Amino acid sequence: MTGPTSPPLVKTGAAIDLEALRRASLPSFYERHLKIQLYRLILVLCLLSAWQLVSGRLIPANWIASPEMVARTAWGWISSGILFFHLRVTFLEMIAGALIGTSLAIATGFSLSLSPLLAEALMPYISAFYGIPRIALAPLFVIWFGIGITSKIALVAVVVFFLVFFNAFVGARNVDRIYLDTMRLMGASQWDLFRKVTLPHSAGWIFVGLRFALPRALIAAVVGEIISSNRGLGYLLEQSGGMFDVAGIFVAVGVLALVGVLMNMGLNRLEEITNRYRFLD
Amino acid sequence: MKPPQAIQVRDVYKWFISKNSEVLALEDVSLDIGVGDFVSFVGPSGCGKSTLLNMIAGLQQVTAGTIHYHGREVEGVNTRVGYITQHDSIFPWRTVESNIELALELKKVPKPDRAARVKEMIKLVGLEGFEKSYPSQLSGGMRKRVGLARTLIYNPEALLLDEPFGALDAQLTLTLQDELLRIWEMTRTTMVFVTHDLGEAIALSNKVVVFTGRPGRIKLIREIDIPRPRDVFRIRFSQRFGDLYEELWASLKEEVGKGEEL
Repeated sequence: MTGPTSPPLVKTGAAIDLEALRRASLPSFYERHLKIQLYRLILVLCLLSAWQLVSGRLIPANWIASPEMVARTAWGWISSGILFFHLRVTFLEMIAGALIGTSLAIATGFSLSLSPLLAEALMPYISAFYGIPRIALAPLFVIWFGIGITSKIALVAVVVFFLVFFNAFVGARNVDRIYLDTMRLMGASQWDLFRKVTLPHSAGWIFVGLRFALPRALIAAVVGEIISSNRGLGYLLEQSGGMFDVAGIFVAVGVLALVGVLMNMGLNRLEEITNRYRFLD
Repeated sequence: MKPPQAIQVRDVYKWFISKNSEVLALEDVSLDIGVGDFVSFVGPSGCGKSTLLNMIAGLQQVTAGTIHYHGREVEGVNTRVGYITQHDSIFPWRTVESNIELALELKKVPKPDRAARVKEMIKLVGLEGFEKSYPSQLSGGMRKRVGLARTLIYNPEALLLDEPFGALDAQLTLTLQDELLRIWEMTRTTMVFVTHDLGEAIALSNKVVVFTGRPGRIKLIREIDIPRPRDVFRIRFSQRFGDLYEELWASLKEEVGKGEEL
């Protein structure tokens, strides 16, 4: 963080030319950046050629499909719209489930923070639930919600809920009393306290929870689809596996990796924004 | 005719339960504070002076006795007072401006009116140029100013201050005391000021209330008849200040340490 604005330390006529210094330091920075990018590109090319060489020669192509076969399958799925259709389904399940899970987690966490007594009474049960591998609930959700996207949304919501809930609860419980008292003396309602104190104060905590929850949300959606569904990337995976289509599995896994990377980039960006809300003193 | 009373404390007792034992924090405290008065509470730590302040604010409840505020008994949070503590409770996620406008935001005052009031307050406490800064970018003294402006913006009838300048260096404390006096002389807001610094209490107040060590009882109420306007930077060198300090310190000295023993 920069300090309060103050006049420049070096006035005109000073012996050191800061502007020249700044310009002199720039090329080395860009050079370094370029080098890193170049190394990455070289690494990818090496891996691809090694892969192409190995596939069909050292290892049968129906075990490890060659990059060429993978690319052809990928292009086929992209041009026919199949990939986009299934990607959209998985994405929708993940986003809807995450939104529902996060909202419920924040609402429950904040509410419980109001009543330490109730929180203490409930904690062992919540912990017991927390101990269940949530994926194990998938068959139950299929029975309750069918094989459509609803059962996957429910699974994602449950996974996200538990990871965000504890953080929201701890964040809300750790709000300094003095903040709440100050607000109450200004005539704040309970809703005002939630919105203007607890939420911004817990934003950092909630975000850490989301950081862990979102990658698991993707896993939950895909596993849900693999178990039983008629659409989504998990379905695509399961279908390709059933047909011994190794290239298809590679494409689906590759797309999942890409989604994961993009999601992480988004989260990093969001973190920069929410970091502003953290206590800096 | 008696001047109107802002705060009337009658036969107040306060017990705490702490670690399975009952502690008597305040015993039989009665006190009147007039509208526009400037009263300080001094006493050893643990004497319950902050507790009394919290009870006037309605943040804690009396165990026995009553506290009336402008004629009405304090029940629940007293939203007609402003409250400033040593730990400045300004929000780190809000800029100076938006910290100061908080009270008006809660009262749903329209935006343009808010902006005008905020500007006024920023000028009053001398924070021009820092409207968009975050608290982490401010010095301790500036944060105090934000806290003061944020409280004054909703025109509380009384300001309750709990060692507001406790953690600041000596020069800064003097400067802020001077500003507080200037603001008080302009607004004539009733001031209740808790401090452990006897000199500060004498320099600022019309009346100093000395509390005994725990359980806190009122030992002495002394009118401070030093004429106003006062100069907090020089007041300490005056004869009258010296005499009052001697007299009150003699009384306070016996109590210091008592509260700690328990």
